[in-house]
Amino acid sequence: MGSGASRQERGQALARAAARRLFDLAVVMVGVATVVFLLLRAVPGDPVLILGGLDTLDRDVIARARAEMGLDRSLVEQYLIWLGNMVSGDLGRSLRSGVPVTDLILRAMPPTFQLGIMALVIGMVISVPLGVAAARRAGSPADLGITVFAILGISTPPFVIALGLVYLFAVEFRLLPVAGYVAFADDPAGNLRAMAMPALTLGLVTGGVLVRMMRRSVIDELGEDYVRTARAKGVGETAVVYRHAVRNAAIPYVTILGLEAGVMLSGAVITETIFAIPGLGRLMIDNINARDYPVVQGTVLVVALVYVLINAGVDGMYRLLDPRVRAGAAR
Amino acid sequence: MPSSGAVTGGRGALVTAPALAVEGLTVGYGRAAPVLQSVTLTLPQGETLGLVGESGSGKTTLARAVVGLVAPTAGSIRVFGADIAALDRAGRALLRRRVQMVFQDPYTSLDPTMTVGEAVAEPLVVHGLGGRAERAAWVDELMRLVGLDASIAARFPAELSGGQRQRVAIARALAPAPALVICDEPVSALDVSVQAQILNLLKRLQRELGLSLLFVSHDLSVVRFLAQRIAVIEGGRIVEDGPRVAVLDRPQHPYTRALIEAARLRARPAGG
Amino acid sequence: MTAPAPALSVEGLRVAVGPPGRGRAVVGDVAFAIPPGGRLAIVGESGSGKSMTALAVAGLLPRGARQTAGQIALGGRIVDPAGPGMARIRGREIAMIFQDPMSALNPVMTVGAQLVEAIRAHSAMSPRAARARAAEMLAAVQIPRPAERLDAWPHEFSGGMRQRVMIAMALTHRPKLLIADEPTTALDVTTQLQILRLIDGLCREEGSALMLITHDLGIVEGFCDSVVVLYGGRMMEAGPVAAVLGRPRHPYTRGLMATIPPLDRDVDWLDPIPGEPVATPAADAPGCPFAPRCGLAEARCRTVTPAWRPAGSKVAASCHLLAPSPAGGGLS
Repeated sequence: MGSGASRQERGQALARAAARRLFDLAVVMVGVATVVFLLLRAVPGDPVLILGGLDTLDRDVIARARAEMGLDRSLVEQYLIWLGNMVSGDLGRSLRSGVPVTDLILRAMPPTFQLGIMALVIGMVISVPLGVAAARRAGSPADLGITVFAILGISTPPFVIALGLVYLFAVEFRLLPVAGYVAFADDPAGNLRAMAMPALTLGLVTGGVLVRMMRRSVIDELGEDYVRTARAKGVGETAVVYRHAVRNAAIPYVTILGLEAGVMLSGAVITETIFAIPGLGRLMIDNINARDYPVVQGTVLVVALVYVLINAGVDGMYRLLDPRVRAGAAR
Repeated sequence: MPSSGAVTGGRGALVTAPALAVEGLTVGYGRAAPVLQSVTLTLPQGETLGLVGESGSGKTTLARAVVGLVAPTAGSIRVFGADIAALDRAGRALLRRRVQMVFQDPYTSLDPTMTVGEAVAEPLVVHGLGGRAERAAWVDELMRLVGLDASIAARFPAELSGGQRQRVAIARALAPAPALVICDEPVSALDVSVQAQILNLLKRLQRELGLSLLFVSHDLSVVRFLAQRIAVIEGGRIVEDGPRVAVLDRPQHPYTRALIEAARLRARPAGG
Repeated sequence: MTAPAPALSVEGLRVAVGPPGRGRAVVGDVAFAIPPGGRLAIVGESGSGKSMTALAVAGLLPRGARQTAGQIALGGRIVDPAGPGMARIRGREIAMIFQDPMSALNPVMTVGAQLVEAIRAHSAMSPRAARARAAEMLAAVQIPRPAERLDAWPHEFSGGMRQRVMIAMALTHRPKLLIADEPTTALDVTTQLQILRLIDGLCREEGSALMLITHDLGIVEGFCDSVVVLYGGRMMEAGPVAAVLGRPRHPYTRGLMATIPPLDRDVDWLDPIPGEPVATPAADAPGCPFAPRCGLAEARCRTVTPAWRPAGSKVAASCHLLAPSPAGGGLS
């Protein structure tokens, strides 16, 4: 029984769970690194030729460039070197600019994370009240309206939403800049103005998914026996919905929220390109086109790491929301 | 009426051995207390043994061990004299054919995508018994045997009532002509007026086919109706075991007495 | 001298499911009364309408079901169970416990929080005082170390313990009426007895009337003083327990009694009622709903709904075969 376990026992169980998580993380990261390494090598196109242009370089120059980049070694050697460096935190240097990959990534991370967090917050702010309202009035015109809105959000491609927002806010009302990025530290107001439309673009898509999820979960929970018990006690309807149904509906909602946070990272590729934001998405696209292996590898690795951390975060949320999960971990 | 021996190829050779002899059976998982502790039981051929216990008593684990779904930690299980731990491949296949189970919930124990006829014939297909025409004829016969109209064979479980489904489950269990049938709470999910039909059916089948029944239940009056012997299980141990009348009318163990007192609640009111 | 107003009186209750106008009645013309502190059993199989009757009285009918006719009065005062005022009555004047204690408690709230919620729904008690009262209630339902158990989660409790918590929540405001819908069906036999005795004892202490919904005639005999037998959403027979079970008049009640295997003697065969109860009755269709399964049914049983008529001292039933002579003819 959960309550029977002492504090110390539970602490130990938690430590074991954390250790298991860390080990899982390492395995996932090495796996991702290996797959990315192999995939990039399988894509046709020689980085040296793309960098220099096909005609301008003679054989010696090419050979020297290849040696400098380590591309003359065997695949296994390249792999082991890359793996060893990765473990020590060195992701190599860009083939094109020679800048350390870590620097490039660290510079690209803030805009992407800001975009992702803003979009998620927008998605949650939209989805919780709308989803609950739709569930309470399931089958009514209001429910239908909310559902149509949600499906529009899900099924409209992000670039269409983006273009619509640009037309509305930048062209028609001239409230926001068309594109561009300013760091928050340099100009907070300008930063928020620049990020508003990209965040809204992603937020509407995610919000659509989350509204559907919240509606379905709350409808399911409202049909549960414990909700009937709460009503039988004479608890008011608002408390029945929020204290009972929504609290239980939060458990599946958080699962989808975690998935959506992951989807954010891929959504960022398109959104950042449209709005010219120098984030991880742009960094990846630009360098895939240039066959800049170390940069692409590094970026993918960081994205994978974020995915894993999001998953760990979702698990943590479960423990917070569901006492049965806490009991399961303590056993 | 086809005898169960017709398909199994005769039970004559093992006529003297009990249908089920469990000796010192212990089943445990890890360091936790064993689910079953030195359980010893005997079910003579052609009789019904009622195994009575509450949830968590280990009665379902015992039933599962007999069909080989749970491996014992210690002790032996003999079915018609054969130690099931020592069986070879062919022996295990024969065991799976001659020992069948009927479960509590007729709503979940039938595959919703199979027609009733397919579900009843499935064990025959699995064990490679009979040709297509023979199987169809046998399914017809089984449907009649359990009191269902043969036309029901073409329907799906969702179209049937709870009692009809349990009849189908019984027909399915009887399909490979088993000699030992294990019923795990087969009437507790049914309406009271339907329970009696299924209980009568089980008693009639047991007599007509010479079946040996292990009847697992929490309900003493149901067990009294069906069983010659009663074993009471609590916390993984058999606390009382004996002829029906002795156990019910002169219970020795306090737990059996508590069960009987509780069962008076559910029993037929005195006026009836 | 007039008798005190009944704790609950139900007249002409009709419940329908499905879209308005095209709905199907699942409860038809159900009427009964429970005196203050009285104990009524409503007995039936699946599709009898027994749970729907209970839920209609408490105003807790599920989505898609609604009361289409009838009058419900609590302590002589007519109430509208589906109306907005019912939240003030539920939990205070009418309380309810349900069949499945595993799902009836909110899994993400502590037992204490759920008890406190029930207490504070109808009183201005401070959270601290409510917590102290919650511990008292747990003690009243014989949960050991009640103060500690307030912080436990429902999943840490067994089925019987959870049902005790449900009872504690239900009785916290000393309701005039406790509705118990199959309160022991999901429990082990030995636990069933403990829970029934607990309900019985606490109802006596608090003076609450009890409406026990069950499929189990055995329970009725031990714990109730009157009984209503439902089939297909309609009343078959009703009266004092001793009279109805001692000498059942209606063929359905008789059949139901005969179908239960006796515990104290051996019988070779049971006498089952043929066929099965209809899971989705049409309680407004003409004829007796039991006619298709009744061995005594005549032509009129299938076409004419039998009237509700006295069938002995304080007993009434609806069966054509009881009609012929008032002097104990027919089946009586």
